[in-house]
Amino acid sequence: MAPRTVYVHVGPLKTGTTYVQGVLWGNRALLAERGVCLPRRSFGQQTVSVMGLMGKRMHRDAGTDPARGRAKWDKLVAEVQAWEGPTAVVSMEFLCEAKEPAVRRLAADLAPVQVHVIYTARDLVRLVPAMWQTHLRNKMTPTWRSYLDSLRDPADPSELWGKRFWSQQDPAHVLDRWGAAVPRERIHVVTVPRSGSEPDLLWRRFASVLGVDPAGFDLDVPRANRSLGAVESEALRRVNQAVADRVPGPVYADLVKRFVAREVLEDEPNAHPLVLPAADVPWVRERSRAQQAVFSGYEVVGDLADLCADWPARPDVPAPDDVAEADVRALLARLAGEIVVEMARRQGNRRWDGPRSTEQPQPSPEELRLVGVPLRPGGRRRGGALAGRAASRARRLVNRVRARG
Amino acid sequence: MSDRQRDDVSTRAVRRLEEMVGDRVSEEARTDLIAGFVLGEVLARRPPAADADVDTVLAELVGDLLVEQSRRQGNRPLPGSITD
Repeated sequence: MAPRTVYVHVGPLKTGTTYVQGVLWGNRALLAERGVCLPRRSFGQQTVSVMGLMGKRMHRDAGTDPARGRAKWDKLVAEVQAWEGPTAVVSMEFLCEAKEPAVRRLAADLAPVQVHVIYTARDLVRLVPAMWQTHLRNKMTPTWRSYLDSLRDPADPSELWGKRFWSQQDPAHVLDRWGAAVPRERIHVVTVPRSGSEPDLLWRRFASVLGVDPAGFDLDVPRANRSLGAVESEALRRVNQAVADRVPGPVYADLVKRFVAREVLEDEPNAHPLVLPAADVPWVRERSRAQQAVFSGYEVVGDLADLCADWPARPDVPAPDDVAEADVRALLARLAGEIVVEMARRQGNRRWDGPRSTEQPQPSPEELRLVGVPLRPGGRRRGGALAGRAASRARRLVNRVRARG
Repeated sequence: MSDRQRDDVSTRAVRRLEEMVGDRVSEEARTDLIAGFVLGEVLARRPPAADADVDTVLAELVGDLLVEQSRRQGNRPLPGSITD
């Protein structure tokens, strides 16, 4: 017998999703004991399945095969259908961007299992800085000021950040798309507790929607990214400017996202925490109140007041655009030292015995499938497919020659 | 700025880099990465600007170092590293 209900957690991004997913995947066996299926073997597999449903790629630089993506989604559907317990749960924040055709397909494919949607909602005053930093951890280079201006006036065609942000973070848009296939009474809004709340409160709220006893779960899950300070954020933005069109996405994730951002910059003293500037609080609050009005039409688990909590006022803290140039350069200089140490570690603390950069220069952006790197959302690469295929053929040939040699 | 002064900026930057990595890096790897790559391949190809200070020179090396590491890894992530 198929489960009666599948809960689809659609995020959005930066609304406690990493924590919730960490608890879910860290307690998969206990969830199963309590009748809840978490389809696919890992969060990564679930993500690939969801991307297949949405016809998206994991990396901008990666190749894509729609049929393969659909097959991954079909695997998730089959696992949900085969589950004999009452409940299944899918949690993937990119689903906040799902268009109506994908939403309709999800509901149709999973039928007769009844689809419920969980939307986690967070105070915009905290969410906006977190989203900017997420872009910085993904090769992007908007300044803090230009990002805020674009969010404030998303109609401005010179910057596209605002349009993308509100497409993901405006519940009027997101829930309208999901409402195409899921009736309002099956959409649940969980508010992210305000700062300083009990650490397990978000899990208890989420579990209550699933109808699961929240007790007994291991909540010691891998941490989400820690917030970067103003100097660290600006330093990361400059690293992106230097490498975005010179290293492929998976290598960027390895070297910059993991090593530079997580292992070095997050450990800096963070002398200037990143907070929303006081001048931007009024319009952000206005948007928060508009979101509260939207949510009032749905079942809310938690407290809508969480979405307009106190602003962490720090008028003495400079914004990333205003930090001292000398501080940014000093941090980047220290970062250079840490990168040398990491490079030495990765080559076994020995001399590199491969070709020098003077003998084997880095392939061109075209060969790395990085032509026309979109430093703004919505941009498209130029000539990527043909150049990429040619580069792949060249690399395969080189590898074959090396293997023979 | 004369070549000698410019060399001095490069030399000071390299010395500072060596101080930063200290004994965390073996002599063999330090020679390869700092004397070989930084001094011999980057700063030789792109000498520091006339008015550059040490922090500026080192800050501008960050991109070169990351791109070089990408190249040394075959422009692929290391096995087991995150790719999300």
